[in-house]
Amino acid sequence: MDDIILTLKDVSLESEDFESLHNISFSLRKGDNIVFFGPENSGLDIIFPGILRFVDNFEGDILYKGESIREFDYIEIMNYRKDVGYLHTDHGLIANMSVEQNISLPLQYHSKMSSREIKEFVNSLISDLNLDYCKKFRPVDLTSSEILRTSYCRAIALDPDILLVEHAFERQSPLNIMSFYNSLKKRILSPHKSVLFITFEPEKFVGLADNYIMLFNGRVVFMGNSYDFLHSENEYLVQYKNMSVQGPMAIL
Amino acid sequence: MAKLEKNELRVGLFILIPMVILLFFIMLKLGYSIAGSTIDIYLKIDSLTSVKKGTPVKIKGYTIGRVVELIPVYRPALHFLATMRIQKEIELYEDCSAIIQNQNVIGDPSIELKNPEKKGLLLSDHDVIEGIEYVNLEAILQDVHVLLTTLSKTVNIFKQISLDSRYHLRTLVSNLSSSVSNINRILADSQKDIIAVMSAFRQTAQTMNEISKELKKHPLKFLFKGKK
Amino acid sequence: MSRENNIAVYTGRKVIGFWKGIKNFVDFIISIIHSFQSFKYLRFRSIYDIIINQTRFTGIHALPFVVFIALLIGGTVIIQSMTQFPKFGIEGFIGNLLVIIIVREIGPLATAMIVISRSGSAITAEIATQKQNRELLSLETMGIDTKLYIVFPRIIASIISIFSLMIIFDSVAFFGGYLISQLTVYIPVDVFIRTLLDAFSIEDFIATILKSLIYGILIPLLCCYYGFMPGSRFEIPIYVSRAVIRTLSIIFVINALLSALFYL
Repeated sequence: MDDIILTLKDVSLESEDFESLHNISFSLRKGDNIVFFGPENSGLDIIFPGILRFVDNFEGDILYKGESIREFDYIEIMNYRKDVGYLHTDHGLIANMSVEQNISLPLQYHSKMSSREIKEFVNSLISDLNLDYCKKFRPVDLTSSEILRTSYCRAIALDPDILLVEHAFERQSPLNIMSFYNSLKKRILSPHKSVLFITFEPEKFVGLADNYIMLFNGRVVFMGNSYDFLHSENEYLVQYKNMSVQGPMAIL
Repeated sequence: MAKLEKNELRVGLFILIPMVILLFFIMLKLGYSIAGSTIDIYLKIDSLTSVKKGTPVKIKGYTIGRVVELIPVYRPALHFLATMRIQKEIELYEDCSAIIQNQNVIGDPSIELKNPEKKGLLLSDHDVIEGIEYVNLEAILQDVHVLLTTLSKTVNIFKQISLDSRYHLRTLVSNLSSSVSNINRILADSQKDIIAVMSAFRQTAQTMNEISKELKKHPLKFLFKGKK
Repeated sequence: MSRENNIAVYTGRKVIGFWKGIKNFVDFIISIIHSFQSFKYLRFRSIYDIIINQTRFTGIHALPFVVFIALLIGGTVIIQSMTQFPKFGIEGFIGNLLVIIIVREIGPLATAMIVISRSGSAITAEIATQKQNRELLSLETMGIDTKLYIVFPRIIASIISIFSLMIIFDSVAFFGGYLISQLTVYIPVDVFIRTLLDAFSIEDFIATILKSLIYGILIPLLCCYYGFMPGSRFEIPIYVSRAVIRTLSIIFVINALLSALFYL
């Protein structure tokens, strides 16, 4: 029970874009990795903002390390967000900062490390992700894989217990993101770190993720482990895997 | 990093130079007051009736400065401190007297400083001296003299007027008596005419009575009388 | 609908819009004040570069414009006063005129106008673009207080810049203007400095510092407020334009109020 770091209990919420979630419940243990997938407008886009309490009006409860995030005050919510790394679709690299400065930013703001220690640590991250050649570049000069790797470095700079990864592998050349994949794999296999993925391509995570949750119209329509994902006869899952328009989901 | 250091240097200069300019200006402003050609001496006065901002400060009739500020002091009893900004090169001693007096007939006040017979310590900036309200007898006597002259002139004018008027009054009275006799004569002449008028009225009344009687007796005859 | 009704609806809509605008801005200020809760967690090193860069852009890069305008205004005022004042026998008041016109009014206003048109618009555009590029979102996901991280360093940089620019403007207007005026009229330099120093009062120094402080806070605050507003990319130029015009209007009003407060 102590291993559970994140719990969603009957969470229902609606975003400004009219995407919604209904009665979502799951628990995340330390070291567990979950993949969320589903078609467009199934609620995938607001599950992470919901977890990070960017949507304030929600029903149910979200517990982080046993404490309801609803009860968090201004400072606690900041600290909570600091503890959860978020690699979102748009990456959001600061345009007037170099790769090095972007990665240093959370450390400069939160860390007690000295500026020299930060520099050394950031350089090691840059080196791990093969970004040495472009560390002085600004985001405008970077390729999509470099942007992804930079934002990944920034997301893990504070070594969060939970990492939220949104559509990371999509529109990326596998060859260019090898270093990212290796680093991510190391984190996924770590017994102390958890990663939540959102993707349209769940099959890419077979062998990496422990659990799979499929959403449709804001509801959980499938939940299971890797074996279930591969062998379940769930009609939603089957329709999704077969990329068929025939099935319970009306695809426009 | 070198770029940032360059920027830091520029920003540093950008902050420092205006600060230095401002401080320099403040110093200049303060220094201008301190090391200037004047000193400020406070004059303790009881009331503000004769001293105001701008009142000249003189020594032997020569203007050496002006009052630049008046500050009330509430204790022990209400009095005032007039700041006299005076030329530094004038030597004034601690026991000097400051006499507030009128400098002309209109009543413009001035402060006349007078050094003591026995010279002591020199007055320095921000020293306080006491003011004496001085009534200028000479000026008052001059005023009184002017007033008396004006008064005697006025009396003379009245006398002249009364002499000139005596003849005219006499003529006036004689004219008046002749006018009264004329009125009496007119009244006497009118008496006879009034009697004649009264008798004419009486005759008319009689005629009217006769007509009315005739009318009662022969109304138609009276009506058609003279018509054929 | 009748013409009268249309006017009434238009007026009502404008009044409600104005009221909502004030309310939103007050809410924004409250949120800024609220964000100061996390001030103790803010490490100065994280905003240091922003302060340096903003000061460089707002202050140092604006210097050529400030110097140019100050020279022209200073020269014009001195030439006008030296040619017109003797006609009224008040040429001794040139220092007073310079202090009144340049230090008290035109200096702060011209500086504020330059800062608003250059940096205010840039602040609004930058924040609005950051919002649309989800840079602000990524800051928030890192547990960075965006209000504090974005607004606070800009306020500091703006105060520094406006203060320095005002002093530079006044100095250039006085002495540069004096040099220019020497082409047409002659005033001995000692007479010029003496009249200037005589005309200065402690209120002028306090008013200069206070104005730079108030403008330094208000300009970035208003421009940041409009920067956070756009909901989509096409709204960015609309809000940049609004930020400039409304900040200018507010600064004019504040300037009049401060002048009334100090010199009435």
